[in-house]
Amino acid sequence: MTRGFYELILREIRVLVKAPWVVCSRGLFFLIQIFVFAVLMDRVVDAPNFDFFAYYSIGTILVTISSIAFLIGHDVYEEAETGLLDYLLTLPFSRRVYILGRCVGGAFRSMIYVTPMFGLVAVIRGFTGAVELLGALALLFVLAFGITGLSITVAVTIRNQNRFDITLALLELFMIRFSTALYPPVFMPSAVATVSVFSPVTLTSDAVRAVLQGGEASFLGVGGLIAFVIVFFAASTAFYFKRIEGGYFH
Amino acid sequence: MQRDLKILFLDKLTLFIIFLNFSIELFVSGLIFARMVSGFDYFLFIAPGANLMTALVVAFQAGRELFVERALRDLSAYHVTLPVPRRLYVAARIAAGVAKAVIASTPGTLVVIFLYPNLTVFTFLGVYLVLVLFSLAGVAFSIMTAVVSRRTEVFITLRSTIQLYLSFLSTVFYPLEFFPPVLVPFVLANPKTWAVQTFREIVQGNWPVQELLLLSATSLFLAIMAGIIYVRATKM
Repeated sequence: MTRGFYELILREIRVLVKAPWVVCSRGLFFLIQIFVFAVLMDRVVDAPNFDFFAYYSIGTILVTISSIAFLIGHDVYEEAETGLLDYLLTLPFSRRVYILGRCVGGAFRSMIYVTPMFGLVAVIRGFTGAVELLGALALLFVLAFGITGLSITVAVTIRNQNRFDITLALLELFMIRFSTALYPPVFMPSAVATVSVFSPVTLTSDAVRAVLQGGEASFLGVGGLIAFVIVFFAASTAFYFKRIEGGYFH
Repeated sequence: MQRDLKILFLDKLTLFIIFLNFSIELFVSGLIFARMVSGFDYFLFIAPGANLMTALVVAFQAGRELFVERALRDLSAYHVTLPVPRRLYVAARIAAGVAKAVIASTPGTLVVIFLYPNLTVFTFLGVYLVLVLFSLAGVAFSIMTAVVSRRTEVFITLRSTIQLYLSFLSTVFYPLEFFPPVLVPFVLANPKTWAVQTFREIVQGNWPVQELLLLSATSLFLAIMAGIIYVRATKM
């Protein structure tokens, strides 16, 4: 089990290394978000006692890790379409190990992407406490793991490619825009603020901000985040099993 | 054109999701950002940009479909055997891309238009003219991207980079005077800047002829370039 699991994680990381173009474009997206969008919006935003750049810089990390974790759904979808999934299933490890390996590998891949960006934000914002930085990274890993499960669930339940692309993009938009990643709840209309409480991105955003600023993450928030991970890991496992055993090509 | 439009209408849920996407951009993010800005009405400032973003996303589907046909499904060879001259074929694909972008963004366009008072027939005509011209630029960019890319990741990267440039180095989110001087030439060369500026002027009852001409010139130039590249790519 351990060997197969380890190989699956390595495979996900190799996929990342073999796609330098994608790494560059995501990196560019992050830099533009920080050094163009956040800087310029900081000049536009004039709300009292609110530092837009400081708030948004942490939010960008959350947005980036979420969007990268969602990418695994595209891989899973493409593998099923091209028939590669059939080959993967002939490899000598159980279905359970295969699915767990994909989820953990996807989360690791997201962390490799985002850690340099996180480092840059830590330098800009002057976050130096090692424990706080590690705590924040751990929370980001948990979020990435949950989103990977969600993304795989969507990939194995939708068969039309256009619809799959748009649904995944909408889910990503929904989870991020209805969250406190990019804007604090005080500016949200009450309906949005109510919904945002349930977003895993909100739970992570609040916890990461609290940890980085030397405070403590709320127990309820971290518990909610872990519940999100468990639910979508279970769902992705169940749907993936069903898809695999049902067969893709008929 | 009929074929491409049929593909669009085959999936009505997608059309709905596109509108939902626009609504979240405008009525969630736009509204929240507007609460952080007090100097001017940021909600009305960002509304035309949110609509143009929808049009851009759909316009880029034209390139995506072309890329899938060429690089993944090998359908291009069949298409060029059809009894249609190459130039007409390419012109029809570009026109279909523009039509799809305009149709898919119409619900959002109407929402944005009705946010402003004092509407006239000319407001509708002007806004649709902007939408057509901007979609033409978007389709041209996406077709050029699809034709020059041979691998999926190259196509995705080029597409995202162009979308990044069009969205963040334009006046969609922030007025021109907020940009540092070094970025101003990039902003002025961006068709989205002229599209969004023209859109804002038209819904306020003005006809900015200079901006409209600049947008038309840029879009037509890009469309001709895309057409030439696409016609050359269809030759064996």
